[in-house]
Amino acid sequence: MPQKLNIDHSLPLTVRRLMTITGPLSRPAISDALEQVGIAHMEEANVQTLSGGEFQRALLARALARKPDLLVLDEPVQGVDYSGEIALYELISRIRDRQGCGVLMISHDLHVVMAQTDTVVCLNGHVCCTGTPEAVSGSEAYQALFGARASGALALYRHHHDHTHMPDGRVRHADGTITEDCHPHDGHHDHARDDGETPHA
Amino acid sequence: MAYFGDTMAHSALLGVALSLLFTVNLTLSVFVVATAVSVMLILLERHRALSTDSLLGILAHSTLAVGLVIVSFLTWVRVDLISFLFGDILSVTRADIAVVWLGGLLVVGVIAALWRPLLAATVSQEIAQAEGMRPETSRFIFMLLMALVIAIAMKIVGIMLITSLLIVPAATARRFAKTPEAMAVIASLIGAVSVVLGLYASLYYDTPSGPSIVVAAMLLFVAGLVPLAARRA
Repeated sequence: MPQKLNIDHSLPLTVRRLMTITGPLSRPAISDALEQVGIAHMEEANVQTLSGGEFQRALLARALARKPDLLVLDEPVQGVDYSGEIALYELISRIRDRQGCGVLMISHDLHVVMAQTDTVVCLNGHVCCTGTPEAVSGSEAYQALFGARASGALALYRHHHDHTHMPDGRVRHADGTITEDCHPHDGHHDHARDDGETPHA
Repeated sequence: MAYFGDTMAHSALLGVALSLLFTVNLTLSVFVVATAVSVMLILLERHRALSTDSLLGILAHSTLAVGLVIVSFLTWVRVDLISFLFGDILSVTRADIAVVWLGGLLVVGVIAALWRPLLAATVSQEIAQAEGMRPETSRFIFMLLMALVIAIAMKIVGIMLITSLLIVPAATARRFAKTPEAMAVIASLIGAVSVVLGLYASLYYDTPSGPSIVVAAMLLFVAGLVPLAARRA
């Protein structure tokens, strides 16, 4: 599923036709996939009339209909408003549970994705750290902020970096020293989690 | 992609000039030059140094200009530039009509056979590639087909107006089509009707064939707008 797709207005294309542009699918398979992502009623709609969230769902349905072992999602919530984002993330986790497929998701929303994630790989030009995210879905502040419905999907991956990447590419470490690159042990890593637990990858 | 055809059409004049210079077949020469231009465009696009628009503009007008310069050196041939630029139905021979039919059938056949990869590459290069297709190959084949269409249509419609036949009938068809397939069929029919109407008009009113065809296509487009306006009212 790509990050973003611009479909020229001069091309008449319904959602159903979008599903089969690279290969045939049976009508029930199309309806089933659209049903799963919750846009079954839009099968006949023109793709240019879809909202951001509906379009992302249609793209997700395309991927699902091909019964993948691994779903690769590159920022799947691009162009989707905040409540739509939460709904999409919930949908993705439901799909994982139902289809039993792996999900590799690339995302910038540290705070939103983590509750549903098994393993997080934090990238900043290199692998900064990996580990299981710490769920804070019970946190009062989060419930107050985003409401009870969202609490399951919202959590914070708490970690801190012991070094920062400077604009010129050099690395400043916690003790103030600056080197051309990360220490060999960085990234595996001295990123101790806030609660002092050791991360279990 | 629409103006890609325009660039290839402009380069057709270089094809004309080279065909006169080396006394080779006109259609073949135009096809080879248009193909060469499309290959150059693909290679230049890979560098990403300039936008596609700039590249199209550079290729279109430099090939047109080089063609005109070469023609001006050919003092031993009298070239009716207007007939190349705007089409001249009187220069079409029986052999040309055979070429139009064979070329047309070939283009329709290849498009029908490669419809799915062509459409997938049009909708999204990324998706096509991720799902095991080769959008680059489809695109290249499409360019070859376009070069062929330009080479065989040039005599009738002319270099400057070929693009309008690529764009206007499709734009008219857009209002009536729900699927890409329907749009392709309707656009072809509208294009054929435009050519017939334009040629008859050219015969009756003694107007040049190319512009007459384009005017017919334009009138059909305007006629297509009417039901839309009526629906809104």
